[in-house]
Amino acid sequence: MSDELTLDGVSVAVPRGWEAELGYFTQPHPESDDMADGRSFSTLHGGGKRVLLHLANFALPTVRGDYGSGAVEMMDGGSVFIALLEWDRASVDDKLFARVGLPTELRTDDFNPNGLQRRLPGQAGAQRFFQSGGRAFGLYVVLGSYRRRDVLVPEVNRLLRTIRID
Amino acid sequence: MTVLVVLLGVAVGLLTMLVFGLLRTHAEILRALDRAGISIDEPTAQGAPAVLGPQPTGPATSGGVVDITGTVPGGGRVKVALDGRHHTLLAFLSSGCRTCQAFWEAFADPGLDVPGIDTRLVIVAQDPAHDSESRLAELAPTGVRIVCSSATWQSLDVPGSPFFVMIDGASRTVIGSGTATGWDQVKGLLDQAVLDSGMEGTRPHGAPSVDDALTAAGIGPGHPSLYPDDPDGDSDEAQS
Repeated sequence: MSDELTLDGVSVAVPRGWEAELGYFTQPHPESDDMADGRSFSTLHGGGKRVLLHLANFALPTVRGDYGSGAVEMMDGGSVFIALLEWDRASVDDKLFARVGLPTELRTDDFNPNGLQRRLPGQAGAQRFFQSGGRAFGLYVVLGSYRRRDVLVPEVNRLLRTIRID
Repeated sequence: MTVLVVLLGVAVGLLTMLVFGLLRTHAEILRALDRAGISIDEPTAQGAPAVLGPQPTGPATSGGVVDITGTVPGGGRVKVALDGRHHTLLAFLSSGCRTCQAFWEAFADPGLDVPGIDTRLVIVAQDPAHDSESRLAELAPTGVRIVCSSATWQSLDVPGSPFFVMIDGASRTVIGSGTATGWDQVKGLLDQAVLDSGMEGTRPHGAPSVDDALTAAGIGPGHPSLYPDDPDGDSDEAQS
C-alpha cells in the first residue's frame, strides 16, 4: 500500500510507514544546508520552481535543511534519509550531470562516512548527480548506520524505484 | 366590516411584534454563543463529548489507521507516517473556528507538554477548498507539522473542529479521541487515554517490556547475570 505525491513532473509512491515531502526551494544552488534562518521545508516554494523531495523512514521534522540538517540528527541505526534536489535547468549540460536517469541501484560501497554533508557518528552518505527529461538533479542519501549498510542500501534502492521524473 | 378590518390590523400588528421578538431572541442567543467561543459558521465538535476513548470506526481504522497524505499550506505535498514506537496526536483544527484559536496559540509554545511517549503533534486541517490556505499558513506554529487532508477527517469520522485523535504507532490504533474547549482539558483527557491503553495490556508506546527483552535474550528468573555481585554465581543466595 502506498500514497503517491506528485509535483511538477516528479512523483513518488511512498510506501506505508515512510514519510515524504515534495515541494520547491528557492536557493540559487542547492549547495549549502544553512538553517540559520530556521525556515520550514514547507515554505520553500516559488522562485525558480526547483523541486525538492525528502523521503525518510522516520518522522521528518518540519524545520530542516535541504540536505536534511535538523532531521539526520534524529536518525537511529535503522533510519534512511533521501533527498532529491533539482538544480538550475541551465546546469543540465554540465559534465556533473552527464549521467542520464535517476540512479536506482546504489551499492553498499557507494556509501561512506565521508560522503555526508555533515558528518555524524555511525552514519554514512552518498551523493549522485544526473539529468532526466532535460532537468538537472542531485540525489543525496544518508544511512543511519554505516555498519548496517547491507540491510539499508536495498531499502534505499526500493524507495528510489518508486520515484518518477516525467 | 370596519370591525373586521380593525381586528385584522391588530392581529397583523401582534404577529409582527412576535416575529421581531423572536428575531431579537435569536440574535441574543447567537451573541451569547459567540461570547462563549462557539462558532456556528461551520460544523463543530462542540457537541461531542469531552472524553477520549477508542471511538472512530471509519474505513481508515480497519486494519490500522492509514498514513496521512495531503498538502502543506502554501507549500507542496506531504505524507506523514503514523508508525513507530511513539504516539501521534492528530489535532483537527480550522482557521475560522473560534474555539480552535486557543489551540493554535497553545501549540505555538515550543515547551508544550504533550502526553504519551515521544508524542508527535500533527495538525490536520481541511483541504484548501474548504479552509483558507493563507490563514492556515499564518496560524501554523513553527516546528509543528500541519497537513491539509479532508480525506483524513472523513476516514476518522471527525465531527468538526476542534477534535483530537491519539494514535499508538506500534499498533496503528486509535487509543483516544474527543474534544474540549481548552488545551489543559484535552491534556488531562489524553493522559487518561494513555493510561487506559496501558491498563488494557497494550504497551502505550509499543515497546517491549524489560521482561520481554530479557526473555528474548535468554535471561530468565535466577539467571546468574542478574547477580553480578555474587562471585560464585549462587543465585539462590543472591535472591535471599
